[in-house]
Amino acid sequence: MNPPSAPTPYTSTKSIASSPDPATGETADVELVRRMASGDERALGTLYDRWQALVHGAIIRILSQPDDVDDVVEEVFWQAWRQASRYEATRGAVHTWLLTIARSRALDRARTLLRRREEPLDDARMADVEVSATDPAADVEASERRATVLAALSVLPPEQRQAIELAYFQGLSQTEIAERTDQPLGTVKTRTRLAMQKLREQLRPSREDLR
Amino acid sequence: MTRTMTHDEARERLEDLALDVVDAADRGRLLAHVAECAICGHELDALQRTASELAYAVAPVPMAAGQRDRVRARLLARARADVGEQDATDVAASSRSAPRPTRRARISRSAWLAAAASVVALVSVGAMMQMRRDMVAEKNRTIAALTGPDVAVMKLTPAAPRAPFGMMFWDRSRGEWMLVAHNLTMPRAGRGYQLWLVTPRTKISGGMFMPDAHGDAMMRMRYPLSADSLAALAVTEEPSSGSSQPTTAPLMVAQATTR
Repeated sequence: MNPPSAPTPYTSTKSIASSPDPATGETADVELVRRMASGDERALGTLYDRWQALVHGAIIRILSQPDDVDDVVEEVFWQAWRQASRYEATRGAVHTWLLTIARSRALDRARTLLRRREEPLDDARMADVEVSATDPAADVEASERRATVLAALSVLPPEQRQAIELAYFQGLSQTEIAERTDQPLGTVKTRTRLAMQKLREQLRPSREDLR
Repeated sequence: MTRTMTHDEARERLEDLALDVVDAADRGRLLAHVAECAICGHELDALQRTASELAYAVAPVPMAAGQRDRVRARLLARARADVGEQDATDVAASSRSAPRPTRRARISRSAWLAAAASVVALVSVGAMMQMRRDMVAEKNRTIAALTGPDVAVMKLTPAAPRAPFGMMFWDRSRGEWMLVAHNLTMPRAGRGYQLWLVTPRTKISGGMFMPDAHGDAMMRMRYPLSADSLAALAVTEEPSSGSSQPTTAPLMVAQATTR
């Protein structure tokens, strides 16, 4: 069954016609989204073929129930189809948009499963963010950005990296992180804030590439 | 009355807000400050961009061929049905000579037609079925969803005259939900409406939706919930990215009914 829906921050007042750097594959993605907005389902198929692996990877990182993954992947691209006209190229690449939707949908599903089962998250999912080797990516830009993000995460102290991991990939609130890690809430807040400040500095160049 | 958040207090929590890890009680106060503070608004925007980059930490994992093709087929079938639904609506309205609308514009018209039908359903489900009998298969499916033997109908009542109101059709056996709402104002930039399924234990997000230019909205979803689990429905205004818990007072509420 499909989950309740979810959100994307890419609401818009701007047109998708403002394409980013034509030197990247992003131009093709923006054109696909434009065609989706006009009702071309073949464009949806092409976008799916290009990015299903990235979206699938993000979803299985969050969900522990393999049976639900298919539904969530489908819902991510379905949401992209329904909200294609709201996509703003100036706010980020198409694959970033898809990943944002994927995280939201996967966390929705994970929270729903958690409530339904009334049992805690599997501790096996608490491992730190991967900071080791990269895999071939479907798109060179996405691959390069992955390397940049992994490098930025790798220089964080382990406790800060864990706070980011639990927040971003498991959707835990700071109170829940404090309980999970047996740390004072204030400590968790400090770790999260410091980690985000460092990541912001480290990732600033790659974000500015978009503009 | 909840105390408003100072600039310094809010600034300290923007990283958490960008990661969406702020507890519900603080979230509303933070957003209230950000809405009024250009400095914090700019800062939050930058931090949210940073947070969105974190998704790239995950390695791409291709789906197995059968799995990939199965999802692709379902997805494209839904997209075709979506386009077909709008085309059918166009045929029904073909006597007009107006230019062919875009898909999004046609969705609005379709939503309006469905909304109108749902209001009739309040009075007579049978009459509504008669009205819709000649529609295409997708429309027939909608009717079935509204009139099935296990469909509960709940009215979301307005809090004031000219305030938003709506109807929810919940096919409990199929786990299908259809919300039709009216009198909605267009939310501020960056915000939308979020539906909540309220159970005795928690509030489950039913998804985001936006009204059309007439203030009408329709949304459908599938979500399995046992018949005795639903206590109420509510709609709140939230950031477009959605909230994990409601952060504003409901615009519409409905107590769960069995029929």
